[in-house]
Formats: sequence, structure tokens, C-alpha cells
Amino acid sequence: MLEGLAAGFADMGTPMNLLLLFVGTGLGILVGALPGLSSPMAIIVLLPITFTMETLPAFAIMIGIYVGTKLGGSFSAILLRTPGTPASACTALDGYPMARRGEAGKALGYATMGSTAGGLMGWVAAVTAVPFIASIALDSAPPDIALIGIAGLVMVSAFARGSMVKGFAGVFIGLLVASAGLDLQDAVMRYTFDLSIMESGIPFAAVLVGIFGFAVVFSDIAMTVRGSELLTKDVKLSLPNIGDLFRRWRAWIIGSLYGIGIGAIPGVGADGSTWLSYATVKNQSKDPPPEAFGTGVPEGILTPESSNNATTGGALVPMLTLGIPGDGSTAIMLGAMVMHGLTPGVSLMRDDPHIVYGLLAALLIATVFMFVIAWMAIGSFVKVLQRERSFLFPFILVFATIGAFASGNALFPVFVAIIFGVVGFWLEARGFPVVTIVLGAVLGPIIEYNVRLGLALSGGDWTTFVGTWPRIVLVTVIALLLANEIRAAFRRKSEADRLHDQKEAEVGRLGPGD
Amino acid sequence: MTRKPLTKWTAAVVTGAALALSSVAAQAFPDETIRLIVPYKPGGGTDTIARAFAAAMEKVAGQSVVVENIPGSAGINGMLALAKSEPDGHTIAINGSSDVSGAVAFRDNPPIGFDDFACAGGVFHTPAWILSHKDNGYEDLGDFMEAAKANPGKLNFGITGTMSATDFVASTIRGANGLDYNIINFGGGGPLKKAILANQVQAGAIISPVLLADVAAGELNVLAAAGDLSGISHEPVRATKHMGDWNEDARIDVAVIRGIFMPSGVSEEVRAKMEEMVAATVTGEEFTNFAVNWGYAPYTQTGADYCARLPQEVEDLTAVLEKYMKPPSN
Repeated sequence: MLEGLAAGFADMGTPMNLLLLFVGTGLGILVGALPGLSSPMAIIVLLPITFTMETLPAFAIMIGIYVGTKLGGSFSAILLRTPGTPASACTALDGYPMARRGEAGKALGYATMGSTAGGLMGWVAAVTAVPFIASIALDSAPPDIALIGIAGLVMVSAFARGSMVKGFAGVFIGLLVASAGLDLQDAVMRYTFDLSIMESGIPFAAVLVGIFGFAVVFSDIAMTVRGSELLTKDVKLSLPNIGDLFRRWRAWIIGSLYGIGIGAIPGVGADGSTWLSYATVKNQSKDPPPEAFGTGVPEGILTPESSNNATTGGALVPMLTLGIPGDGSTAIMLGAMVMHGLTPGVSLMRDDPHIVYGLLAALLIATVFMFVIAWMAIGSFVKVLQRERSFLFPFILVFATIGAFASGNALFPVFVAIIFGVVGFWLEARGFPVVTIVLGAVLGPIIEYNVRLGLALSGGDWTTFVGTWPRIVLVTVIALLLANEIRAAFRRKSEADRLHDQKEAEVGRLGPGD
Repeated sequence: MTRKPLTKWTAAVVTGAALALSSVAAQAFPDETIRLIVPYKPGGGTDTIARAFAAAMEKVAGQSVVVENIPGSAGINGMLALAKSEPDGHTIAINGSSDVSGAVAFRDNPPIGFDDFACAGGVFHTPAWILSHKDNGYEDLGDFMEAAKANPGKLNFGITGTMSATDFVASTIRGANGLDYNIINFGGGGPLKKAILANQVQAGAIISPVLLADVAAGELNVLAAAGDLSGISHEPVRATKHMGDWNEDARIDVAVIRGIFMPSGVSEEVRAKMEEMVAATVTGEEFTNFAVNWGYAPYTQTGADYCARLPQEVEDLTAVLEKYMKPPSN
């Protein structure tokens, strides 16, 4: 393992790769800082450029962006109270009050240190877990993968922000999208309407471009109209000293642990982990007392920021070992792997270990770069925040269009991307978390394929899905998750009914005409 | 869109002029970038061969050779793009013989036919082979067949796709020898590879030289060949018996031969020039090194022979289909 990792650092350590990582990370911080622009969008927009590159340099850029956006989001959360990314919304709770007290530099300092600590913790977790899980995964049989996929889908729907119904709706749209085309096992045409262009299904890369490229621009146009006031223009980063950081170890350790664990679960992503860890740290805190949270305490920044950066390491684990993405960005990176001729899945570590270790090395280097860039150049990022950013939209649209075209060297994916851009914008505006569509589309085929293959190998015997202890555990987890959600839904319903009755009673008391 | 008729008209004039001066044109050909269509996503076997071929051909042709991936519909989209391209020799495609013949023969209303294409020759020959994990203890196909006889309905034989070349291998062995084993479709070479390595199927048919490294390392046994293995780089498996050696009824030649296709409207001069360049590329040092490194000695076939192979494959496969496989449902 250590030789592999050393080779990974050697691969990533070439001047060109380091440069790309540096540029990617800087770009990521910038993209993250600009409200509305996100890491999946930035990666999607850069995809056509990375097509022409070798695999590792292409992923150097993507990993850089992925890591950078996690910190960048906190800048606008602290200075504008408009989180640059959903994952930094939590940071605004304490970051903005602290900045209003005139301690903007300190708030940014805590965010930077929190992100760096979380990123390092996430990296340690990924480096430890990936080789171990990869070696087990190679012996996994189709039923195992199918059950992991199903558990992932249930979690995607359950933990998606907003309602579970909307989460499930998104997942089902994703499943529908992915089921179109030639079925690989029986060669049945599904939803192809006799069009040969539909035989390969709806081009997934184009769906990603639509949802993360076009839709983001549409909703951003709607958002820029509102505009928001920058708190202060002159910001000097003031990093907390190490002693200060160690005194507040609970904040960033708990934040990181949540980030790693939740990052590894498909679909929940960084925003879920920030809120959960924030709540935990807040409730258990003695100094400062829980009431102080929300008034600008350092713990309130360290926790969510360490958490969202730790998800990067967590999300890489299922991506590199099982071919299952933890969030939108890793879903795109998996797509990019296919375009670079790799086969993501359980054999990636066996077939292309240098890619796996290269990516792990990139994660650490990008985290270090993130710290350095924030330290040296935070002022420039703050300056950008005050500028009008609508001039970026045409570029994003052009790049997204090129990306869609390049995914199949044809016009059809461009049309698909535009349609999904409109649909994605419409759904997002109505509170459907669109990332569930993407994860449904990614996990659906994995589940279907492995369920059918598992049944074929067992001669149609369904008990194969509870044939080993790990499978029984997985089935139990799935059942418990579903039961819990259904129970919660009933409770919500009865609560809603009670409120409704109460309201009616009040209306009745007041009587008509009052 | 409105520009299309004009483009077509211009093209017609240009083609006419080119035809009138065909000998001059043939001498000048190739005088611009050559576009090599790969009808699959990057990274597969055909794509890997194509990229090595393109790099080697640039030196022979004196022009850039650009690989363009047009994936989809099991290779149909890319071949359709070739059929519709300007037949001036600057657009060519690489594809496997059975990938084209299968697509034309075994689907309803295929959007392409053999007469849409001219051939500039075969460039790579890879037969199918049957592999098994060493832990199963099968030294050759005979051992596997014995086990299958002893355990009817129990053994699993992996293939890469329904009605694919590997399906013909598995179905022929089963049908010709009256065996009863399950043919499991993995829907691709990658997943089948993993299943053979993890010993989740007792045998698997896959296009060689996939898994050659594991064969050489002694992890996997080659049970039988489904075609001519004599060109493979790893010497010990060259002598592998053919599946027809156990039963003459199972003597079919299942191999993917990658060849260079051109649109059918191409002039004979240009086609012949392309054929010449293809042969020079394949036998050149650069491509030979790639080929041997990848697993096989270089292989050439003339355009005429290559084109003739396609309907022959359909005939052979139809015979197998009628005898040993259920007719396609629909």
C-alpha cells in the first residue's frame, strides 16, 4: 500500500500535475465563493477540456475544484450571509455574526483552519479505508453490490434535504432516465420509440451537463437579481494559533467524523453532514454553552467547515472501491473515468491502482494547496465577491454546450442537456433536490444489473440476497431505514392533521364574518 | 440546417471534379487530416487498437490521423456516421468483423448494410477463448464438460453479451455436446473479467488477450480456444486445443477481426491507396511493437478478403443459431 501511495505522489508530483492541482484548487475556491456556482458545475464545464488530457492531469483539476469549493463556500457565507455552496450554509450561522462584530478575518481564519483540518482527517480516512475495502470488494458478488446500491438509494431519498417524497420522486425520475435504451442482459429495447439514437439510452453525461450546467445558470440568473451586500472589503486573514485549535478539538474532530461517515453514504453529501455535526457539537458543548451558538463562536465555524471538507475523503471511498458516488461531484468524476477509458467499480484498484493512488495523493495535495491559497490570497477572492458575476453565464453555457457535444460527438446530447437543464431548474425551484435524480440514474442500472445477475447465478433463488451475514446486515439496514421513514411520515401526517383541526377549531370559534 | 443542401451540392461538385481527375486525386490522396471513427466509447479494445493504429498511420500517411469516438447502439451510430460521410477516403472507421456482421444480421431493420461499406483490410485478429479459475481444477474443456455432465444445471458459464461472439461459443459447446449448464450474460467484458477472477463462474468465454496476464501468472487456465490462438504473445497457450477438437460439431471459428471500413462510395483508387497504407501501417515497427506488447503478432488481411468475411460470418453464425440457440425473442 505504501509503495502504491508513494507512486501516487510521484505521479501527482510532476510540475504539470501540481500546476493543474493548484489552478483547480484556486478555481474551486473562487467557484465556491460565488453563490450559486458549485463544484459539480465547475467540473462539468471543464470536462471538455479534460477529455484531451491524460487521465491523471484531468483528475488533478477535478479534485482541486472539488476540494477548493468546500472552503470557498464559507467566504460568502461569512461575508455575505449568502452561502456560496449548500454545504457552507451552516457556516453562516456563526460566521456572519462574528464578521459583523468586525472579526471577519478571524472568522475566515477559523473557516480555513477548520477546512484544512477536516480535509486532512478525511484524507487519512480515505487512505486507510480504500485499499482495505478494495481488497474485500474484489470478492464481492453481484447480490452484495445490489444491496449496497439499494441501501444507498434509500439513504439518498431519506436524507435528501426537503421531504422524503420529493427525494423519492427525484430518485424515480433518475431510475426512469437510466432505464431507457438497450437492456444489456436480454437486449430488449426500452423507451427507444424505434429511434436508433435512443438505443444507447439517454446520454448520462448530457443529463449531468443539463442539471449541473444549464439549470444552475438558469437559477443563478434568477438569484443575481436579488444581490447582497458585502460586509467588509478589507479582509486580512487571521489564522488561529495551534493551541487555540487544539483547545477546540471537539468541534473539528466531531465535524470531521460526521463528514467522513456521511460523505461515504451516497446522496447525503456535505450539506447534510454540516448540519448534523453542528447540532451534535452544539448540544454537547459546555464551553461555550449551547445558547452561545449562533452568536459567532469559533466552534460554530470550525465544525461545519471541517465537516464539509472531510466529506471529500469520505466520498472518494465508495467511488474508488465500489464505483458508487457519494455526491454530485463524485458522480461526475465516475462519468469522467468512463470517458477516460477506466472501468469504475470493484476492479478499479486491481486494474488501475496508479489512478486510485494518484487521486488519493491529489486529495492531500489539493487540501494543502487550499490552505496555502487561502492564506496568501484571500483578499483577491473577497474582491471578486463584490463584482457582478453575470458575465460568467454565457461562458458557462458555451462550455456546457461543448461538453454535451463532446460527450458523444453529436448534437443529440446537446438537446438532452437543454431539456434536462429546464427540467432541473423547474424541479429545483420547487424544492426537489435534483442531485437525487443524478444518483438515481447512477445507482439504478448498478442495482438492476446486479440483482438480475445475482438471480441468474443462483438459478433464480431469491434467498441469495440473505445468503451471507453481510447481506443479512444490509437487508436489515434497508428495512430499518424504510420503516423509520414511514413511521416519521405518519407522525408528521398526524401532526399536520392536529394543526389542521386546531386551525379549523379556531376558525370555527371566530365564526364567519369576523 | 438550411446550409445542408448547399453543402451537399458543393460536395457533389467537388466529388465530380475529384472523379474526373481521379488518378490525380489518388496520387494526391491523402491531402488532409484523416478522421478515424471508433464506434465505441474510449477505453475498450477497439479504441486502444485504434489509437495505436492512428499514431502509427500518421507516419505512413504523412497526415494527421484523428480518432473520433462516436459511441452508441452497439456500434451502429459510428458506422452510420461513416456511411453518411464524404466518400473521399479521409473518413474511415475501425470495427470488429463480428460486431458489424452481428449488428446487420441479428436485428430488425438494421439501419446499415454490408453494401454501405468498402473495406481497406483487417488489422488485428483476436479469437475468443474459454477461461476458468485454477481453483476449479479444470485443465481443459474436457474436464469442464465432465463436471457439467456430472452436475446438470449446476455450472455457470459466463459470456459478455446475448447474441455476442462469446454467446455463440458457450451455446455451441452446450448444444453440440448435449450439456446442461447455465449461460450467464454479464453484459460486457469488464464484469465478466471480474467474475472469472473472483471465481464466481466455473468458466467464461471472452475475447483474448483479455486476462492474458492472469493466465501467464497461472491464476487462470485456458480451457480451449474458439479460433486461431497461434499468434498470441504468451507462448505456452499457443498450443491450446480448439473447442472443435472434442467434438467436430463444435468446430466454429469465433474471432473478432478489427478492420478498416470506408464508405461504399469511395473510388477504387482511393480505396486501394488506403489499403496500401493500412498494410504498411500494420506491418510497420511502431504498430508491431504495440501489437506484440498487447498480446498478438501483427495480422493483415486484404480489403477484399475482409469484406468477404462479413457475410461468411453471418452464414456461420446463423447455422449455429438455428442449431443451438433459441431464436431471438421479438
